Amino acid sequence: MPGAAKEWPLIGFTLLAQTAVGAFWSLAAAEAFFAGERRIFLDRRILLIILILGGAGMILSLFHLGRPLRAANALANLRASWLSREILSDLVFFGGSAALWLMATLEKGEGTPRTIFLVICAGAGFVLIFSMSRIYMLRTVPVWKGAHTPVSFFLTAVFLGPLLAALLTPAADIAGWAARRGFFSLALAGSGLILMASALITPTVGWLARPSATLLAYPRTKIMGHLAARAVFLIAAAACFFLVLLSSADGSQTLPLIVGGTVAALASEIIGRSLFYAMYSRVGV
Amino acid sequence: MDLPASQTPVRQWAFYFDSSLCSGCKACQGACKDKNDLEVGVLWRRVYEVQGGGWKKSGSLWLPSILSYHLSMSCHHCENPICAPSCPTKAIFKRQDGIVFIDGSACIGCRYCEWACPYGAIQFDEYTRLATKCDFCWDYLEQGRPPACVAACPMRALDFGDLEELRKKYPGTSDVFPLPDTKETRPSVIIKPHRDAAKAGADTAEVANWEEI
Repeated sequence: MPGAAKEWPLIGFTLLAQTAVGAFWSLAAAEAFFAGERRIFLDRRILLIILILGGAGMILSLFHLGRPLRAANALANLRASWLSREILSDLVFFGGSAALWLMATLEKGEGTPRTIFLVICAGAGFVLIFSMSRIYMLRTVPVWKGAHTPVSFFLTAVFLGPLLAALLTPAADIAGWAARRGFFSLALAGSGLILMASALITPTVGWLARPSATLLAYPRTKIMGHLAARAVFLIAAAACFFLVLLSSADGSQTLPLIVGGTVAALASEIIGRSLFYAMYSRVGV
Repeated sequence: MDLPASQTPVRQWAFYFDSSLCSGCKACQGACKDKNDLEVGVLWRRVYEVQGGGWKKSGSLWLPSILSYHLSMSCHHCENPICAPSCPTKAIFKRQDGIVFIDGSACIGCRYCEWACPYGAIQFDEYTRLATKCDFCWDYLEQGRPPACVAACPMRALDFGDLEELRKKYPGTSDVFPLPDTKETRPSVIIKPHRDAAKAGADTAEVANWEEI
């Protein structure tokens, strides 16, 4: 793993939050797609898992703080700080998902109220990932200040998100089976997009890693090595998802492929995000 | 940064630093640590040793061609402090006297200000788990005394005062390698560069004491 071990709370928080949001989007999109069949994808059980992952991310983020007990202060500067906006949108996403879970548990609020909450959560998730990327786009940190930051954060959501959705969706009925295939296709497309994005970024790594030449930047050879390792995992994940799509929908035969693809996908994303933090380098001193 | 009317600056405290006089003794750094009881690893004022050059061939001779100078830098109490909008708690603000101040009771120690500041002025205190930085010895100023670093300099390379008055008193610049472009931050510091600074750039010089600062 690249030299960003001390940022483990942020690596965990960003990946978990983006995965939770991406899974929410995927499942909500599947509900819209199969609206005619009135199929509920975001059911009680799946919402609870999204809540657990999102909540685990929030708890992890506290470990990044020097004074976690004062975490509520982070909401004080909504006017200027993207970090404040990130926390607010995360709370809205989490709160909205919790409300949906409660509605599902009490079997209340089906129809319009549920749709309203679905839209609020999906929107808050978008604001969350956008704010998250803006935090890092500092004028004094050229390695982070660029479109590649939001692109990589959103790509994580459309890669790990559908993968989580696929893992959670039982292929018990026709809609479930079709949606599951759709999710694996999205994860396959996501891995391809991330591979393309890193291929595009690779030639500029030398430039990215040397914004000021004064602060010790992460060594270029190491960056290239980690990008290569990440590419191997991405290709492995993509191959697994491709084979899952080719094989019959009977889960028992594809289980090793699904497990392998998931492990490879997680490894590639952890390497990618660690590299993101390891490459921090600012202008000046 | 937009300020409420009540906080409209009445003055701007600023430092002057004469790099051509500085011998790199770090008395300023030591005086600052002593006055503010700073933990090991926390430096509100830092002395950067900028070095470069090597051997140059001249005919059949190899001659040394080196550059070396020091920069004593604290927080520059920027007119446009980049650290402030990155703070989610509003703990960083600009006082009416221009001092950029961290309210330690609001800080959550998220360290985003540390990422944003291009001068390395924000120093995370591992003991209190809070972001800290130079407060211009505002308590000394109220007593009519100079900041500890200025008083300690044996070469009289440091001075302080109102930014406008300092500008009248000393010709100087704020753009010296390896400091960042001043256009966006507008730091409240005036530097008289060392003669070697003209030769220093990203390809010819580097900070030689990163392990100290």
